[in-house]
Amino acid sequence: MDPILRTAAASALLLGVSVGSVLGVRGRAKPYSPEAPAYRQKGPADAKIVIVEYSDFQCPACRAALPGLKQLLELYGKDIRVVFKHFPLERPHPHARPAAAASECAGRQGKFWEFHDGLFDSQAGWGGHDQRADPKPSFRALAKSLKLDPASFEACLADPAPDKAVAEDMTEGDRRWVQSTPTFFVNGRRFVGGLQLAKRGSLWIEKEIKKR
Amino acid sequence: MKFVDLLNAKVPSWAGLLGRILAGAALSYSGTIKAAAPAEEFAIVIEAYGILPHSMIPSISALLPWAEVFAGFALILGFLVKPAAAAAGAMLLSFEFALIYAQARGLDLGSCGCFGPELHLTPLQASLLDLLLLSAAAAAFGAGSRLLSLDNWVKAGYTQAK
Repeated sequence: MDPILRTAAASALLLGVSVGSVLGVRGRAKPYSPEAPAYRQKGPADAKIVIVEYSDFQCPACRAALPGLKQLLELYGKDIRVVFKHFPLERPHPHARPAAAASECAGRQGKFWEFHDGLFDSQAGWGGHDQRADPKPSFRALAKSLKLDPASFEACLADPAPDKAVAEDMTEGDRRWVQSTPTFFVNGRRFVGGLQLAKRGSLWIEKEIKKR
Repeated sequence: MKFVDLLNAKVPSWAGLLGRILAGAALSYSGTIKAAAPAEEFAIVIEAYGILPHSMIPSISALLPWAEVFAGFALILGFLVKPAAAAAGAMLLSFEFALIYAQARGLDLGSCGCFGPELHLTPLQASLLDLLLLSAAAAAFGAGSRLLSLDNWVKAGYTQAK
């Protein structure tokens, strides 16, 4: 065989193997829904911008991203709708999934966002160094401070349904290749971490608002 | 004797092949995992090291994994071994620098992010692995083409053509 042909064949093989391996791992895009229960959404239903946030209550980066997200809401208020999705990273944050389930219980009593804020404010306590300690007393204390009905809250903590809702969000996050928290989808475009949201997300939001 | 000639002379053929397979497998695996995922995920890993200017990070996070993939598979297939080994060495050196920098600054990275989210290596573990892979890349550079390589097959075409 002609040497140039051999070189071309070898190049094609390298290209094929390289691209094929990446596409094989990536797989086909899987379906997902940007919806969540109403208590996990805030902002107008017809907002031009929808920010879907995959978050972990025990994640310090998620806590650090809150002021930036709050600033965006203040800046663009009526144009933004925020949808919260659970994505606890169980390996580094073993209390994150129970926290997510507890927040579902608060949501059932109409106080998801207050519980969300409370969990992040007290993260250093219940999410601190002792990963073997049971975090539920902290969740109960937070529920009490928010005047949630204690019997309903307790029954909910024992119910498998809230954890199932968390698991559904996690499955959907996996489908969307969410690997870190917080991950934001702003009208479908991905920004990972508070810094990406602040630096590039705000520019994207401006562009999207002008478009619509 | 130049260093390149020294490598070529001193590295046995089997060491060159082993070096190719080791460095190639590691780079193709790490590159594939990162290239398959959204570039923003790798971007946040690069941001955590605090070395590169923010304006460069989107391009680097999109392109670097593909460079790893091509260099890795080129080494495994034994095609353009010397350029691939040189590229692999350059990438591994830059990773090593980033890891040493992170450790010197006491950055709490958790995982180095080198092999995607599934494989958790601390910066120290990744640093040691990098040094091993650098040696493998050097061996591949010195003697990687001699055994079981596409480079030999391509060269045979030139010999036949004469």
